[in-house]
Amino acid sequence: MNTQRLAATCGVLIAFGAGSLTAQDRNSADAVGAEQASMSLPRVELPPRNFKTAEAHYKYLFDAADGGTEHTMATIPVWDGLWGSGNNTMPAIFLENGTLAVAWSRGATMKEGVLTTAYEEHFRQRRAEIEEYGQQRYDRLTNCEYPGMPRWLWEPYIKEFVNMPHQSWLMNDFMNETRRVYIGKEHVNIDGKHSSTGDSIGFWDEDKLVIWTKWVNPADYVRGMPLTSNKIEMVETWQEVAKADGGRQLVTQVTFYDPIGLTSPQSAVYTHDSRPDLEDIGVRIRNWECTSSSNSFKDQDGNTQFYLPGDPEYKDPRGFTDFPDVPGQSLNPIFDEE
Amino acid sequence: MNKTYLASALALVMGAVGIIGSALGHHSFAMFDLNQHRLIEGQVTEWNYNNPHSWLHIEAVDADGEMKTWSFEGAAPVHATRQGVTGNTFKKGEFVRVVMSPLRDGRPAGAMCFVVKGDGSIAQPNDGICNANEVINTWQENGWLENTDHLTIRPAGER
Repeated sequence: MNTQRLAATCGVLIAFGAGSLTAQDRNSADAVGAEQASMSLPRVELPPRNFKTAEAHYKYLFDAADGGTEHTMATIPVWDGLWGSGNNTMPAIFLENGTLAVAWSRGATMKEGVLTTAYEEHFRQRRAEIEEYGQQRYDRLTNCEYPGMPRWLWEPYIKEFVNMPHQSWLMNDFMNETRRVYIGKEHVNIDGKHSSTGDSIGFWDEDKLVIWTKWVNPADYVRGMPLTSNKIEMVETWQEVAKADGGRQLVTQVTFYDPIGLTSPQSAVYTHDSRPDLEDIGVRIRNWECTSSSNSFKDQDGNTQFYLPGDPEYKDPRGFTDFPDVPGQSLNPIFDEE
Repeated sequence: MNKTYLASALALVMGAVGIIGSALGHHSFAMFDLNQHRLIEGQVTEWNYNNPHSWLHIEAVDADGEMKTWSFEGAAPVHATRQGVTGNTFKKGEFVRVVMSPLRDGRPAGAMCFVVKGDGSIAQPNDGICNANEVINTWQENGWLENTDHLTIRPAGER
């Protein structure tokens, strides 16, 4: 059994076994992680062949779809409403019995040989920190650094999806990270640089959106999990399915190609669930604030800490603009007026 | 059903559907002592319902009797909203009792678990680091809500 198929098998086992977490598991795991790990998961779909590159994978799917389905606004799949992140099998790539709950807890066992030597050693250090402190002490998000890909797929905030014949917009309220997928186009990089969400092209295979993403900044799969390199590329397929309870779910099958970080390509499945309940209570995506409102920082010992009111570095997100003497410059008028 | 229990019941329902996802926030929680819950009571000076985390600031005396600004971190708005909390939940000058996990370094701040508002209702602006429903039940079952003084520490359970 090759590594990919082993990971896929683990993913399936997680999907069916997550509901049987022991009491000890639940106590030792972050409560939310345990909750999320109990959500159902579809089976991981491996690439039809063992492709060496994302390009080969994408082109194979493109040819298999005869160049893709040319949708109009009348026929294109509509993924309207708010969506929340669900479960995923990504931790099973790197950890034995790798659920999200296990990923964020002490006692996890790394899988050997999945990561290249340098990335495996870094991951070992990261897991050792979790063993010692219970958590990874510092996260790049603390300084408002973008989570980027593939972390975008999981980050547990609210997303919206807009499909049009020429582009799809995959929007996450978290850090205002919008992925633009250029349908039927080639990769373009006149900027000559990488970015947090990279460059994504895609095509439709009937109701399935196929995406190839490259030129992504190095980051993490998620906190507590391995680093990704600046050579990571991803091939994703997105498809809406109906859940057994009648709810709507977006299933994302993804294969990570990272020749610097991974010894071979790895696959996982991620889900998003439609959340009409959030719309009902008035949730709307607002501009994400971080640089003007976050007071967390990395201290000299490598821990995450806060500036508090009274500290010279403290930023008051509800104070005033640079012109406090001018009427109407408060950032907190509703609270102040009540 | 009184307001406290109504709010608690609402929070339980909202928490059940909304707790997923707020585990990681945007930073580690290792700076908080998650083994203890400390009650701090005072008057609200600011309620910052902001991303990436909400913060509640209150004026309260410290162990030396000195008035201090105490600051408590909560969930991002999208998660707090699912728990029944909005940008209008706390009013300036409102008396609140905050149950929180304090900073390990002793400064007057912590991670909110739940807040007893001036009208007796309970708000849950907590991030995923605290299972507020469980903690509220523990405090209610032990009578701690009625019998805990300002600055008193209660065990938070095994973490």
